Amino acid sequence: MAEGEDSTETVKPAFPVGRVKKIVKLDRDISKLTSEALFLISRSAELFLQFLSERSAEVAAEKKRRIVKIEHLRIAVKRHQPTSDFLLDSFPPPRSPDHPASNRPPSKAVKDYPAPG
Amino acid sequence: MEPMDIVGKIKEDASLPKATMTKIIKEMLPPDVRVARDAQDLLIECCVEFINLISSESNEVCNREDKRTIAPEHVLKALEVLGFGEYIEEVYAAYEQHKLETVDGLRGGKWSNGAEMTEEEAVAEQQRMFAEARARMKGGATTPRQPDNDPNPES
Repeated sequence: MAEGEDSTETVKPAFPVGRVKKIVKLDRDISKLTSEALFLISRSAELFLQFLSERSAEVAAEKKRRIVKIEHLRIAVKRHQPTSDFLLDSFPPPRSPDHPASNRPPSKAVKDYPAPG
Repeated sequence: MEPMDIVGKIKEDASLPKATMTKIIKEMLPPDVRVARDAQDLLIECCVEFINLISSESNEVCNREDKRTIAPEHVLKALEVLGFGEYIEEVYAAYEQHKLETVDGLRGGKWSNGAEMTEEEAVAEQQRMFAEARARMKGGATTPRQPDNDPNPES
């Protein structure tokens, strides 16, 4: 992708704006958007991805882990209200890693789950 | 709205390209950090959900203003409404930069380099730049473009 670069180095690829457009167009209510608006949406999504990746990595670091797992993501999401509002639904239900035999009820704190308004 | 339904539909029709997204995520994080594969997939899904969220809200803002085409200001408003106002500054800065970069080089800042040019000089300069560009293209030393990058989409 980058000329003259060592082949072991990775250069950050560009965010796939074309795919973003496809995703946006899947929503039938959306008819038209300017190319600038599409650019802004892509850039925002990139920022969001950055934010979520970094926060998740922070959670993993807090737990002294080098590998970021779904649980770390979940915690990162919960820590930011606007993100939690739209994203928590999409997460798989939390697994109980230590004692699969125990019948602990799911520990979803109801207060984190705002009622749809 | 059923997020899981939408996520399911999106997986079939359009999603973000996994390999590209994996590299992007990797570059966003410190080098010694790894992401579990399922967590990576989920990160990508979250990104898609975010796109849906912003475009949907942008559409509503647009409708409320009785406009037909979603414009930048609708997106910025949507970000604010949804609680991502902190992105606005950076997103807008990127937008301004993007505008500068897409302006034809002949019309942009490259021309206003202090000394005034006569029209003849300006034309000569233009010809020189064209010739250089042609020579570069013939030489085959072009920078490869990202296949997924669609610089000027318009619905």
